[in-house]
Amino acid sequence: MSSLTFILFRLAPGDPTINFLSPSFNEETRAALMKSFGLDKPLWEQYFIYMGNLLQGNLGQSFLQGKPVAVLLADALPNTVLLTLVSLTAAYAFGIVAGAFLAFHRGGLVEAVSIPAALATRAAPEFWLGMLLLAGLAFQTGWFPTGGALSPGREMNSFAERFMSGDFWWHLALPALTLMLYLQGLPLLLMRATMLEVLNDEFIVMAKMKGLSRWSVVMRHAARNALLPVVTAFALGLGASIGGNVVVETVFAWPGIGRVLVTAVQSADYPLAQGAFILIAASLVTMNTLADLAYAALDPRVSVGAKR
Amino acid sequence: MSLLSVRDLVVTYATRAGPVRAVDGVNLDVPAGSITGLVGESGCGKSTLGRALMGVLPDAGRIAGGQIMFEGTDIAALSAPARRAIAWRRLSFIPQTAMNALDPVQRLRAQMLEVLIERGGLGKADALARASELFHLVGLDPIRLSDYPHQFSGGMRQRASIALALALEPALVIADEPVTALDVIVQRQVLDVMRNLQARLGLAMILVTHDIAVVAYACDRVAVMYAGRIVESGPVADVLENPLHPYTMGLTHAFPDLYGDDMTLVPIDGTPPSLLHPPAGCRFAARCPFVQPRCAEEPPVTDGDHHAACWRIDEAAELRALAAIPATWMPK
Ligand SMILES: Nc1ncnc2c1ncn2[C@@H]1O[C@H](COP(=O)(O)OP(=O)(O)OP(=O)(O)O)[C@@H](O)[C@H]1O
Ligand code: SF4
Ligand SMILES: [Mg+2]
Repeated sequence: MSSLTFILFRLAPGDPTINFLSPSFNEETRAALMKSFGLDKPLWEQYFIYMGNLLQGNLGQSFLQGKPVAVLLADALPNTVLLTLVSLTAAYAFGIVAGAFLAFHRGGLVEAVSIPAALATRAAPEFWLGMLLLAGLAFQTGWFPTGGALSPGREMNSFAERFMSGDFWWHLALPALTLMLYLQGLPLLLMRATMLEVLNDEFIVMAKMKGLSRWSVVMRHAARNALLPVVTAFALGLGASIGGNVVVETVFAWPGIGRVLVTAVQSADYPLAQGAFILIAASLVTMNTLADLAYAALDPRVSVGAKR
Repeated sequence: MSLLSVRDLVVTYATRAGPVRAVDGVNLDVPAGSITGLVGESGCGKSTLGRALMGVLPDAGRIAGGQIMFEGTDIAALSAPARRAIAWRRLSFIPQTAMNALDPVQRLRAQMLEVLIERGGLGKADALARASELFHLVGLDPIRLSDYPHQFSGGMRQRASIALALALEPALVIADEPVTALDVIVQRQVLDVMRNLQARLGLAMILVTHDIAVVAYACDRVAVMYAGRIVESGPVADVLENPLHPYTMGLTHAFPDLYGDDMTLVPIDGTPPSLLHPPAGCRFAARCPFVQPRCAEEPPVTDGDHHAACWRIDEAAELRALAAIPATWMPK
């Protein structure tokens, strides 16, 4: 994975020094700069240096910003994680409740209206959804800021301070809403489908025969069984979103990993782009593993290590 | 008076082709404290009848007529809450494959406590003690209450289902093919558990099966069902030894008898009629070796404890002699 990103970025056209250097620099300064970043060395040597550093946990220096890649990523990661967590949680909470509700009101008018609506928001491009919300709720009415994570001029030093501030949450609202709308379709349809399946199971018939209350039948038996695949999807979605928020982060100028990646690629800032990619890949792998563990923990029929 | 008296019960399933009359005019009496077997070929409506008695039909199904008199009330006419109030407390159910009938993500203890507390009104401590006692009764180690259903063998799951069904000491238990999925040795063990407990608790049971051997082994009475109707019923010994209805005569030949004699097995040729458009007259006519022109009309039902619906009841002894000859059942 890290080898692949290394090769991919070196193959990409563009010279990192072009963004970095002003045209007024002469050949000598340019060469000196290249040397200081190790870009004068042959590609294979660059590769071994990079892999060696990586194994020591060193992601290198950003060409453009002159700071360690790890620091830049550590700055962006909490923003992305928070955006993802808030929108994904909202999307799943909504999707699960609405999906279960729709499973019960099968074939009605509610279904005829809401399924296409859920599908449409899921199919609509994220940037289009984001721009609609921006136009309506930010530019037109001024209720929400148009971008960024903090109002201009506000500086927050610690993360805690930032996440405690209302200003941060106010900035988070629109990107999170966009992402939530985009993400809500999957849990909704999944919950509805598994719920419909579970409701036909023999143990649901038995629960009704026992004269249990509707609440017990639905919540204790049907929903608990139907939730299994949804929980797995949540963990997977969390992993996928760390790198998958690129569009929303760009539309709302949200300083997260996705935007770091985009700017790094645009300016051929190899170490930063590589670092971002590795982080995204790592979170995908981690969340896939967590999803498996969650499934095993929730479904007694699956033991850890056994294949589903 | 019987504990349960079913009168002219009709249950239909709505299908694209029209209503399927899966139960079509069933009359059945179940005395208190005895096991009544309900036998018949696949698709004759046994499960539908059982589920109608339990008040839980699939979405497409509905009771289209008749009465289900249970402990003096027509439970088919009760409102949903009133019906729910007696569910499991007065009549309960043992399903065929306890694999899916038990909630896969909950321990047996939780499933026992749910019934004992929510439906039985017991406190937690009492319910726990009762759950252990019930497991003990059906021959399971109470330690296994902490297990999930998938950790049980088929026979153990069936024992657990019996424990659940008996939890609130109902007056009637309906068991739909409770041993069909088990191998013969385990079948016997489970049947023994059911019979012992039934006798000890003095409850009544309807045992649905398509296996005459199970009826002969475990039941006091038997009702033979064919194409949505009960064609013959009475005490087991009478019905199996002196069947009155040609279908019952055929059935007893189509299954190995309980003592394992090497009797030639002669299946009844042909298939049951469509329940979408059931034929007028005797429903067995198309397959009956003794059919006569008058069988195109509805046969009379005889009176008495052992009764059947056939035009030729008076000749039953001669027909039995003929039915014992395999050639009688050969396709013509
Ligand atoms: N949900 C349903 N919708 C439509 N028709 C149904 C439905 N369930 C059962 N039937 C039909 O009703 C008839 C009786 O079915 P039922 O399951 O009661 O038979 P059974 O005697 O229990 O058979 P088996 O021995 O195979 O369990 C069959 O013809 C079947 O096709
Ligand atoms: S009524 Fe006629 S067709 Fe029906 S079982 Fe009797 S003899 Fe056979
Ligand atoms: Mg059945």
